[in-house]
Amino acid sequence: MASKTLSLTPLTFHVLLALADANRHGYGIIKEIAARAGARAAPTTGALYLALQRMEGEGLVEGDAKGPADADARRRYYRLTAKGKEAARQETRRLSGLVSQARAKNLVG
Amino acid sequence: MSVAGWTKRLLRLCLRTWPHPQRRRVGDSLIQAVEDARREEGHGFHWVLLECGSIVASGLRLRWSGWAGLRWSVAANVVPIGQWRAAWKQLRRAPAFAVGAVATLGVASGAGAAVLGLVQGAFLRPPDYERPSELAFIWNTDEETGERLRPSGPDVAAIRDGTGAFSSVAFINGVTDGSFARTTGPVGHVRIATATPGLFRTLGVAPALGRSLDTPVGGENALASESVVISHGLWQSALGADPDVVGATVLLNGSPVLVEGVLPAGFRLVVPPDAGLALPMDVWVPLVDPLETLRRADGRQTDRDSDNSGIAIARLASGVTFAQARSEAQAVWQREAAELPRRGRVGLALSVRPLHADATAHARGLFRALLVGVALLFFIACLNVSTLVLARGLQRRPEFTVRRALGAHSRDLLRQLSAETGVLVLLAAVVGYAVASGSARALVAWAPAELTGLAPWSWHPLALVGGAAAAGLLLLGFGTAPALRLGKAGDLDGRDLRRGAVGGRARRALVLCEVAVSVVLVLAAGLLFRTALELRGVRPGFDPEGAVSFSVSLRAPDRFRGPRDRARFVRGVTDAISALPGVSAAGVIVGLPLGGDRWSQPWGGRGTTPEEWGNTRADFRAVSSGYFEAMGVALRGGRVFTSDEDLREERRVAVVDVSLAEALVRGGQALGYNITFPLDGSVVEAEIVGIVEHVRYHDLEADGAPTIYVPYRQEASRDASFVVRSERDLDELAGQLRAVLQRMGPEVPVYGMAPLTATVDRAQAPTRFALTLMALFAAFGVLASAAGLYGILAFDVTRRSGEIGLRMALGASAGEVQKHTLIDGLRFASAGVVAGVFAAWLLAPGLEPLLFGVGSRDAATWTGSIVVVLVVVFLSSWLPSRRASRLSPSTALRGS
Repeated sequence: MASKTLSLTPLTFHVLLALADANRHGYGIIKEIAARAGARAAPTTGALYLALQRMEGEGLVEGDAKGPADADARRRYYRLTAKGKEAARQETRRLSGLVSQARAKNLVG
Repeated sequence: MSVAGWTKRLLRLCLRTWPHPQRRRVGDSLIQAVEDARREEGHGFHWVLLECGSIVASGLRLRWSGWAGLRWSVAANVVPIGQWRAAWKQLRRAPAFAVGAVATLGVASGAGAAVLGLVQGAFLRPPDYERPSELAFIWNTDEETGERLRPSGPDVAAIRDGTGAFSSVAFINGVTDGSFARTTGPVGHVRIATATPGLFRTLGVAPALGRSLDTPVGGENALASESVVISHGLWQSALGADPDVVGATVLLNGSPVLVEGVLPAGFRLVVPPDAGLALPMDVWVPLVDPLETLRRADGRQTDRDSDNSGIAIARLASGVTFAQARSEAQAVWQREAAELPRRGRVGLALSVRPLHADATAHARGLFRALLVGVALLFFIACLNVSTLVLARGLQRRPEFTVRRALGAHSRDLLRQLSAETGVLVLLAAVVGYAVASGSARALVAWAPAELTGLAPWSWHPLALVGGAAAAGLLLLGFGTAPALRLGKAGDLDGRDLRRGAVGGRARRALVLCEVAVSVVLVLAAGLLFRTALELRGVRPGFDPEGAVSFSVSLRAPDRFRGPRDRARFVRGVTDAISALPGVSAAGVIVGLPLGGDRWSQPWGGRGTTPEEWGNTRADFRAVSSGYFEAMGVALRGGRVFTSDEDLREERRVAVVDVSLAEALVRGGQALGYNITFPLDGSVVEAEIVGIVEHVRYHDLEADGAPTIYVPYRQEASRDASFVVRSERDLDELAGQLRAVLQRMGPEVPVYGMAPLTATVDRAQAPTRFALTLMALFAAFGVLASAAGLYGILAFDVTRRSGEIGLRMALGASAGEVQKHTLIDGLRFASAGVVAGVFAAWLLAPGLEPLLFGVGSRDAATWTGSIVVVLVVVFLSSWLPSRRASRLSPSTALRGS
């Protein structure tokens, strides 16, 4: 099926990755990105929530998700929607395709 | 409170930039996230601030995309044709309202745009030079009076070479009048300017045809050089726009020259009017001599013809500021001054001023006043149309009420009313465009030369679009929005007996503002009227009635080989003119009064030397024996020059005016005294043989400097003006004068033939212009206020006819009813007058540059203006009140 390629910003992709294995709240996402990709990739809170608003609007994530049993009611947990999962997958495929092309040109080993 | 508490407070504050729905959804979570991060990672205050910044940034971005959405939805709702068509239909249903509103707004904005265009062209728009903000004038200034004086060539050369602050310096050595002809053809009069070859390069103006002045071709005397550049206007008028003109030979003052190039069509040299440069220039001749070799003006003044002062225009080097350039130039000037005799530096300083600002400084007061007048005019028009919109809204109240009852939101009504307002404003803009375009030419023709000389009329960038936008906003704010509040719940019966109903209150407020603005305009017109009267009453020192003047240029090389030839020619022409029937006197002067000619020099008493002269300057005029009688200048003592002295002199004599006599001798009995002054390169001493009345040579407003007259023979300048006094019809006389000149000197160009009254009128023209415009604005304002006031009161009377009828039936007399309505109107209109007086008190000092003989707070004018407005207010209130008193109770009650 030919689907329109969503162009994802790096932050969007990181958030999708962060939510891929667990529902997380705001700070949790930031922590996860920092741990996985380094402090440089981690967004400020304002930027993160702005991105989350946008992604919610586009249907990639959903707030009001259930957190773990002892979760603070104040914290809003986010989870990946099916559309979001698909978008993450497509982006991964796109990126790995680019990596293959770079390898073919002997840019990386 | 703990750190956590303060942090939370700060974050909540920053979150207020977020739109409410999003803030409610994620606000708490966001704050919690920040808290978590701070606690776990031990961040400091700096980090919190950064987070706050990112929260605010995100909030603004969210709002921005929200606005974008709103904009789109507004546009999507207003743009559809259906909305506009509905608005058009609504307007057609009320033609009186539509026509009135469009006409008022259209005429006012058109007139405003026309005046704005004048100001834009003459004042606001920078000249068509390359990067005009880098251009500067270099002047000498009189330390005492601050008067601008032209610098001399060597000084300008010293500055050019002595400092790196200027990337190029140009010098215009003087403008003379001369004759121009194709190799075969009639001789016409032209203005010839001599300038350094790099002038147009400095200005950044490229020629339309051929080359600029850049490469002068040999020759000693500037006018003998072989190549010239001509103006576009001259190319069209005298050379028939011949495309092969480059390289053609023409006769300039009888000598052949080559036309090197033609300047572009719109080119104007932008200089201040008191620089003594007659505009516009027709022919440009390159100045061949290096600037350093020009004779320096050093107190031993040369005569007018070989005066080597000029106008210096310089372009600042890149990165140099005016302050830097000024201080460097002044340093060079000081150095030069130290090395030269004092007499050349007496009381002079050096100044470097931005070109455009300096050239327009003289008219700044006038332009400001015009701009404010236009703004007030436009404001009144908007207020007036707003009252109309409100009145119409009142009329449509039943319609709004029903629609609201059927579920329409304010938003929908607003959308519809905005469309209607939009149509109104668009139509008014079209009318305004037509009015402005149509009147622009008339305005330029009528406006005094001071305003039109600098640049042509051009549309002000804000003129119609900005006006339409402003009108739209004002109308929406003052007219539509209040109208929307009508028809809200609680108003279903459509009647409102309370006088303070929403519509009524808003309309009253609007008319109050109109009255206030009218007061300001009427006061401005009143002050200008007084100024015009005072100017009229100024005695210029000569009698302008019944005299004619014209000028000639005596440069034909074969005919005039020296001063004696010129003096003899002038004498011959004067005799011939005096012989004409009906001519009572004829004379010659170099530099007519009020003609823009400025020629002043320092002077001293008997036996003084230039070093002792000090700073006092006097005007110098060379005149013939018949001048004083022809000009109508009264003789106060002694005698004028004899006709013998026109041709030769046994001894040096001079005539002075009473101001100089007073300055020389207390009591003014200066006959027989000697004075010393520079003449023709040396210092001469002359005996005062006559004292005449003081003449205002420069302008009507200021008294001016004292004057020293010498016989024409002594200077025999190449440019001279004749004055002829006669009782005959001046047109007939003009023809005969031309005939005389044609007979005696066919190669001598004659120009500027006009009655003397024209020169005096010209001096008064700026004031008259400002007065007429301001009076028109004031009349408009007063009419608008009167109409508004009348409209409100008449409407009230109609609306409350039931109440009035009831009151009369219960015993109120007609007089009481009338008084009641009258007081009602006067009460809030007077509040407007008070507000207007307050505003005028603040704004009046801004008018002072235009005033003469009357202060901006002059009691008589203020009283008169207030009385005028009060009378109008009274009349507009009185008419409806009479109607109220005439109501018959029975019909009124029946109608209710």
